[in-house]
Amino acid sequence: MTQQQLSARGKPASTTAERAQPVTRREPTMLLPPVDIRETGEAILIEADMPGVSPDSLKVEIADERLTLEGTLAVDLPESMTSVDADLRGSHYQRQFTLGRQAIDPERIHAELKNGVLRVSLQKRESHRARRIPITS
Amino acid sequence: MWFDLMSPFETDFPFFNEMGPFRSALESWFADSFNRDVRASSANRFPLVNIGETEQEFRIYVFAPGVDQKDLSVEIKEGLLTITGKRTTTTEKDIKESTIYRQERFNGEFLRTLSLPDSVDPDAITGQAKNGVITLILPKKAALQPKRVEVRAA
Repeated sequence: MTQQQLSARGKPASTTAERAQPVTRREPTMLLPPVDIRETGEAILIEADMPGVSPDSLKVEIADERLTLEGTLAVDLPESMTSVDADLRGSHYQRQFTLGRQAIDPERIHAELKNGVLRVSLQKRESHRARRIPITS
Repeated sequence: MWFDLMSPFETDFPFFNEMGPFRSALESWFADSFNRDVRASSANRFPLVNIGETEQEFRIYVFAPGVDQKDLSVEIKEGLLTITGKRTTTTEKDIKESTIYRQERFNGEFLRTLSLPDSVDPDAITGQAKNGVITLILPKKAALQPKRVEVRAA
């Protein structure tokens, strides 16, 4: 629960002169999206909060056992806007994970971006799936 | 509650190779020294909010990824703008049917309050949602906006 003063009055000139965040900077601050990771019998599921990322600025890549999630935060900013307050400073999201080569089937990775949440499902190889062992009496 | 017992840095993804724990430690150092770590603030602060101003209006960008429209409400009362809602990221079913390794995303009910400056016209506030960001446009009262004086030739 937080309460903030929205008014820009009384702020030093240097802060009000800054462009509103998030904006594209020459050296963007990297944002680490928070993630949930869970495993089911068949797959590893990764969910990442990446608000403001559109499907065409999103990149999900797997190379050398490394999974990279990347995207650019873009919102509609009026030209003359100045920043009053910003929780989120930066415009580029990136996070990487190292995956076990044996467990994940690289051909069966599915990614979906909806309402600012990225969901990646990595299907396990047959050999790593949960299976039920039949018991004979 | 079960979730609170879990620290994102004490557990690790079992499919990580031996570099896993190092990577995750490195990631958190990086976060402290160079990056504004979104994870740290999102634990008790959701949704994140950015505020900008032009001569005509204020804009509040509410970062609420994965929050259904029906679960979010924005109210203005007595000069206070209140954002309330809930987001369920982990269901009972998820807990039962899967092993959870990391849970950094906000889960539950949220409330944030912003006090509006007097210059805002509370009846003229509008909002729109896109890609998990809600943009609230708060026009300033007409009397306080810069006016262009038209000078006509005599």
